[in-house]
Amino acid sequence: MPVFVEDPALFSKERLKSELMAHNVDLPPPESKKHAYVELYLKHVRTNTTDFSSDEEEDHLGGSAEKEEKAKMVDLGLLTDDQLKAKLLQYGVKAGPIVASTRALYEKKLKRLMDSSAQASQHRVNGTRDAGLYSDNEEEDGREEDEDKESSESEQLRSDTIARTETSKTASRGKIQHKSSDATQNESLSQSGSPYRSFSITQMVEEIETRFSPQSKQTEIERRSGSRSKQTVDSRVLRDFMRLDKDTMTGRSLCLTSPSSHQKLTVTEPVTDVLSEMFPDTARTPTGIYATKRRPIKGAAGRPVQFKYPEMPLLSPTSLERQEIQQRLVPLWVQIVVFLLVVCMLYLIYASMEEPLSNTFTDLLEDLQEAALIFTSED
Amino acid sequence: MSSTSQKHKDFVAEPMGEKTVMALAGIGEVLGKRLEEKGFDKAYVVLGQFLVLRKDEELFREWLKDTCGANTKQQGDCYSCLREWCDSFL
Repeated sequence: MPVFVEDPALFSKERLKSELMAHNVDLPPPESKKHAYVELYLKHVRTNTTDFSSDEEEDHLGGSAEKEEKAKMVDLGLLTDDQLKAKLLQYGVKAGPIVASTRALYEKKLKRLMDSSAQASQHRVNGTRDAGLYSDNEEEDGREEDEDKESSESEQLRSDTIARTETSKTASRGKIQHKSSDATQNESLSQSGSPYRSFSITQMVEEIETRFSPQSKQTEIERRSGSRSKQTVDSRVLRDFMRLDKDTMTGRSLCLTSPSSHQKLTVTEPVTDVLSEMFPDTARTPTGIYATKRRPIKGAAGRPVQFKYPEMPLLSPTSLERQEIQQRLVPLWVQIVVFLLVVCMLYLIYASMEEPLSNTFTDLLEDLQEAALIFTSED
Repeated sequence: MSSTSQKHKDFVAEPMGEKTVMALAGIGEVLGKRLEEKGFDKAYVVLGQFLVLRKDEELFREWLKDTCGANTKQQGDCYSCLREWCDSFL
């Protein structure tokens, strides 16, 4: 029975069951709701479909690419902190501590790096495809080639991630879910955790984000709401969103601004600029002029020292030293007095000794005394 | 040298102490409220996030955008304010 309507939700449960069995897919438990069947159907049947002629290429390629993109997303979510750090290091990014608040950012960065390095051509091809909705043979071939590359890369990732533990996955998922519940605008975080992503559109969104960075918040919100709705709906509404994207693309082209320096900051390409490697911490300025660091001038206009630093003493360190020296001068007199006292005591001790010390001088004195006595006794 | 606002100069001139997030350059009432809702109620908490991201401009800008929806100019102001504060006092 030919089915013209794409929507598997409109299929009966029996039909879904039979479709799943035809594709050798494990059936969910019989008590499960219809939507479980729908999900399984979408996951397995859609990726292998060849029944729908007009949408064949898009669905097929979109499905397989979506699966690979899903695999990559799942992989990033499964990576432990150390593995994520190692992967970032492979791309030359020295990551800081990967904690709850930073993990999502680093996952996004890694994803961007992986996308940009492996799928640069994919971006271009997908862009034209989605914009036009008219499939060309050349585009088709290019797409298939890129997807072969993609599939080999994702296979590598899959083999790497086979050994991942469940706990890290659930932990990261939990964190991601917690975060997405917090912020309504944070679907960039939920992007990393959601398995059902239409890769082409989100890649296009990123591409557009990096190229035409809109200055107003309104276009940001519009884009965000567009991308958010894109992820939550699965690929069966792919075409609708492609149409929507065409509209927004045309809308956006009207408010196109010239690529600003923001582009340099958001596009994460492998760093080839030597200067930025040497000085990674300096902010990039549009003119290339780098300002030196400014130290606050104490006591300058509006910042009199007394009011800004009330705890500090008002005198400079040199005057403080002088004060200390003056303090030391006082006990110096005491030291001299003590010294004199000690000298007197020593002299008294010497004087009170019974046996005078004999040395040559005392001998001379004694001789002189004897001589004097003799003189006086002679007279 | 790019011009800096009075808010920036005031923040960078002294240790931040217990200042609120609204004291940061680029963060006004609306953004400050959003940050406070997320738990970043004091300027030093935002400083903490800035330091955990290793003072990386791109990551901090992105974090700011994701957390409170700051636009490019606000991100830049906040980043340069914090960076300069760190240069002087950290």
